[in-house]
Amino acid sequence: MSRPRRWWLALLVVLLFALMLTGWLSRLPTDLPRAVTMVARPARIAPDYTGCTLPPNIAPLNFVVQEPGTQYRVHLCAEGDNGFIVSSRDANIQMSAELWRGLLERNRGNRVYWRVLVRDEHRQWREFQTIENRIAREDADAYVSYRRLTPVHTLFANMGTFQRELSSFAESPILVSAVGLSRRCVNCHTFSANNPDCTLLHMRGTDGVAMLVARNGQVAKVDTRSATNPFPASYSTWHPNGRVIAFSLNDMDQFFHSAGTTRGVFDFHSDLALFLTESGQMVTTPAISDPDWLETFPSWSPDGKNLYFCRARRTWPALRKKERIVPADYRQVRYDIVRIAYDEKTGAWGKLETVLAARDTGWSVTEPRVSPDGRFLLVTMAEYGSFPVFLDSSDLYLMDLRTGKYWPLPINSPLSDSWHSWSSNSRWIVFASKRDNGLFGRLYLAHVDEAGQVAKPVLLPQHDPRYYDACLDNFNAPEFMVKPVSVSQREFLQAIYSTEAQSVVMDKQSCSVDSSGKAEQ
Amino acid sequence: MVRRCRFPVAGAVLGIVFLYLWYCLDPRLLYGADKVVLSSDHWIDFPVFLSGWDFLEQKLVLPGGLIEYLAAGALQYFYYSAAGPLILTTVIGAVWCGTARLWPMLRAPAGLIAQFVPIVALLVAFNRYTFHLASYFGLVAALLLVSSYVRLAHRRSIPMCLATFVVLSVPTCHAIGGAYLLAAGSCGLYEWSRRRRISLACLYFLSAVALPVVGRILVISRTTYIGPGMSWSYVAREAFATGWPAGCYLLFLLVMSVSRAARRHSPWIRSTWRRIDGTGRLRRSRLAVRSAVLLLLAVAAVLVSWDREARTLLKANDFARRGRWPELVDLLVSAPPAAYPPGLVYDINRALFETGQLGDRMFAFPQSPEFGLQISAEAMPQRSYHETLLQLGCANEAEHVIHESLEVIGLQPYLLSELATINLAKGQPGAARVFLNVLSRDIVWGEQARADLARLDRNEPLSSDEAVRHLRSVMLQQDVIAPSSEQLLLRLLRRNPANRMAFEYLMAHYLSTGQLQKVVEAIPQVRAFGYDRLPEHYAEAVLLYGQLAGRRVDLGGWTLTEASVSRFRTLVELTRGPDRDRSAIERVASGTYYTHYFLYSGQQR
Repeated sequence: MSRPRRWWLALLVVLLFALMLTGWLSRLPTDLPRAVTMVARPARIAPDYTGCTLPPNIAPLNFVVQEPGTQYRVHLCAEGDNGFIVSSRDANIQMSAELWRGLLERNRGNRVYWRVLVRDEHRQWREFQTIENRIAREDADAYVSYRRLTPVHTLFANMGTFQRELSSFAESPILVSAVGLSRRCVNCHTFSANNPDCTLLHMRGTDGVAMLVARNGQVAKVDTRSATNPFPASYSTWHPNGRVIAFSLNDMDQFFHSAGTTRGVFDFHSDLALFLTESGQMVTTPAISDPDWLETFPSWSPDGKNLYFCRARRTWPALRKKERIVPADYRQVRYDIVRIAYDEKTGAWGKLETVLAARDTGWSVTEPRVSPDGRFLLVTMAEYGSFPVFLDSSDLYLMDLRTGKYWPLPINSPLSDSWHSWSSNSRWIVFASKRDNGLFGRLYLAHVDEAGQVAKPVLLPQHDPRYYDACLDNFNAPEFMVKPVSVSQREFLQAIYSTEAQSVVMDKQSCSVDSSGKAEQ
Repeated sequence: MVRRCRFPVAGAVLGIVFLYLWYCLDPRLLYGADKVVLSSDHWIDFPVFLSGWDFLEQKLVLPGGLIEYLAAGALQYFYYSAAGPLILTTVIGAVWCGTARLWPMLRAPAGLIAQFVPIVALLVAFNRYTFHLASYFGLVAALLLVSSYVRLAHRRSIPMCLATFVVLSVPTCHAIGGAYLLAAGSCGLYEWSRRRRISLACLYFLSAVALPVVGRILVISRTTYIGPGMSWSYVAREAFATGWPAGCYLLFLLVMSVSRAARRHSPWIRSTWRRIDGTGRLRRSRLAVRSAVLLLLAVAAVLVSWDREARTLLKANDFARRGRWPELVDLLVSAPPAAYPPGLVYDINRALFETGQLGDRMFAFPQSPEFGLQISAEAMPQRSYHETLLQLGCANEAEHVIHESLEVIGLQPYLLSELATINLAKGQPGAARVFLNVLSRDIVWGEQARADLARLDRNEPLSSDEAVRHLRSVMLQQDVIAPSSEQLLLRLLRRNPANRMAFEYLMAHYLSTGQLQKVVEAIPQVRAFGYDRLPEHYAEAVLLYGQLAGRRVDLGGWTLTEASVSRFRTLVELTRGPDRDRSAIERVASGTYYTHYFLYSGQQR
């Protein structure tokens, strides 16, 4: 070996050694300091993971300790379980997924304790009051899908529907607006009984307006508009049998306030209809498509025997798109929750039945979702209208369908709480809330016990605990899923760009119609 | 020339280039000029740049993403007046140096033309102000790659050369995207002309075209969708979108190589070329003369191509963004642009308002018949429009258009800052923090954003407190849906009767829409805003209204100047009779409200 090469080699060895030495010296001890000063308050942490009930299958709840210090140590443990210690030179506490999962798994139904220790600039350790959380016995569904979009108003350049594995931080797109040659609005998504084998997405844009109906890996593009029905499908719900989709046909507009919350949505006209996936037919009945009433937000009961939806009386005349303006009394438009029986085998409809009336609650009641065990009805109540996500007044209410009693969830915030979904075991709900800042929706998971008691919710965790601090996306329309969507984005795109859209025509004769259309109180 | 003239001459030329860029072109004007319209089909697209791995990662997944990232970062430094010229001079210097080193390797003549043309071409491109810096970074990177290849492949066997090419090509192609065309093409030329390895050269030529396309297809298939609508031309356009300067350079290189072959076969062409290019053995004096002629031609080309109109528009935008309103008015008076893009109309009206001249001089500048505060696709991305709305107190309208802009043009720091201000004014510090956190990653705005966040943590007043306080004092408290411009301005005045801007803009709205009666009815309110005389356009509207309505107008104690009355009488004379002479009216009433009323408002009587 020549002399210069030898020198280079020696230099490389020295550098490697220096690197290893630096790594060894900078490693942090993983034991707890002995001499500590106790602080008589819990440490401030963000996100606020204190006093929450956690799903046993949730990803590590990484957080930031908002206490000044030069070193941080957090001991996560439970009764009879020494857990593990996280050491950090900065305030970001990021946990090992494996150790975290082990701790949660071993302590289902128990409490977990977080001892937070901070070393100050005088090298003194302070230990704060222990933070306590509870681990639920029941898992939440393994996946959650949601929409991510900036606080858009009328344009949609960057939005999408994503799915996230709850036990990790892995997020993948189901369909985003900015792929392919054009951009599109990707709206509400729904699954049959939390199972994404039956998936439905809506899209609007230059590629057309359609429902993307995915069943057992096959995607069909369905356009529900026709000469008699110019409005596209909006909010949908799969029948638990996976063969029928109920959806609303909305003629809605976004409008803008000059003071307070900027955005608002007004439904000028809406009806409900069913799409029978096997025959390709679209059917309806006057009870759910009465021109004098606005019917929207359909939701099947878990047994598929009842269709819940909300409706309000229309007090303004039908106007053409260019002529119409939001009526001056738009704040008086309040929706009831009603339900109608439906026999999927015969196609027969029952009578309308009011479940929760706006005149009783004083609020507009929307977004009905029945728990999969059929016990509870979770709704959003807001000051007016059918788009609670834009209203600070919107709160979640739970109704016991056995007793008819309803109550606001204790976890409601002064700001918007809406867009909720049940996990398939009825023990978890996920909802969108703007409680942190009033503008950006974030997803929260809350435990609901058999008696309908709801525990303090936990913010959907991210790997970087500061993620939400600089995230300009709204997270909304969350839906629990038992497994990931098997249809790829490419397959959805193929359907979007396919020239063969399945056009369906409203067939009012093909089903038995209960024409009374009157709600039974 | 670099080789021949050595460092002093090269340094002097680059020094002159730097001074030209600094004093004449002034690339600093590009910072803060995002979406400023320079002509009907040209506007500034100033890229967003955020510090942090996630932003780099987003860029790195795309072919050409690395140079896009570097160029976006470099462009942020255009905020500092000398940094932009320095970066552009460095690009020119690097291309010059690369040319001087590369061409002899390719046995192409590196004479005066070969070295002058790329520099002049670069200056001409920079003179348009709409240049895409990443493309020029790509050109430099491509020259660097071909130099590296020639150095490494020198006297190596074909397999070694091929291996070297592959190792250099794959990462470079991904890093520089379309500019790879030049890199691989030049390597092919080297193998063809210098080593006579025709098959290897052909392989390189093929890769020059194919590799960027394949790279783009791979990325598209991974991140998006290749379907029926996605044609080859689309993919090729995407693949070479940033490569056109490199492509032009390659074309020039090919032309020069062909000309070399032609010279070898034709003594006449050879001698003529040498006379022009100075590559032959010429006497020093002749060489000097030819150099001077070429230099003069180059200077002429640069000066002729310099877009002075664009500079005026950018300068006006710069004055507006810095709040130098009197200078903005002076600039547009001394060098009026041929067209007034929408953003400039908002700026000039704001400048006139800030300098107390809106009621006197607004019709000396082009005005829209509808003095628009209404949201339109044209106005939406204009920063001047956002600022006007915010200054007036239309917080929600501003929030609406800024969010739309954010969706379409990305995380521009000024949009984030405006949204932080709005949310602070609306009492949503949590939302303001989110915007400030993103803003803190900006190179220029970041420091202030971090300071603001720290102050928010300590509950101290913010630096933007003045803007927040102002907005709070004028923003609407009572809700109204889809108001017209007039309703909005009237509500703003009701909210804060001391909102002079709302009053002047309301009057401007009445004037521009020809609502003379409303102008006259509002005259008594003028005194409440501290005017010491009736603004000229208001006086003109009063005279016009009196004439058209045929009655005296109660001026509430105001008196009209003799000049106003006399001009009006002349105008009345000119407009009498069936054959009104428009040019005469325009001559007499130039800069007055009459011109607008009769010629533009569509309410001629």
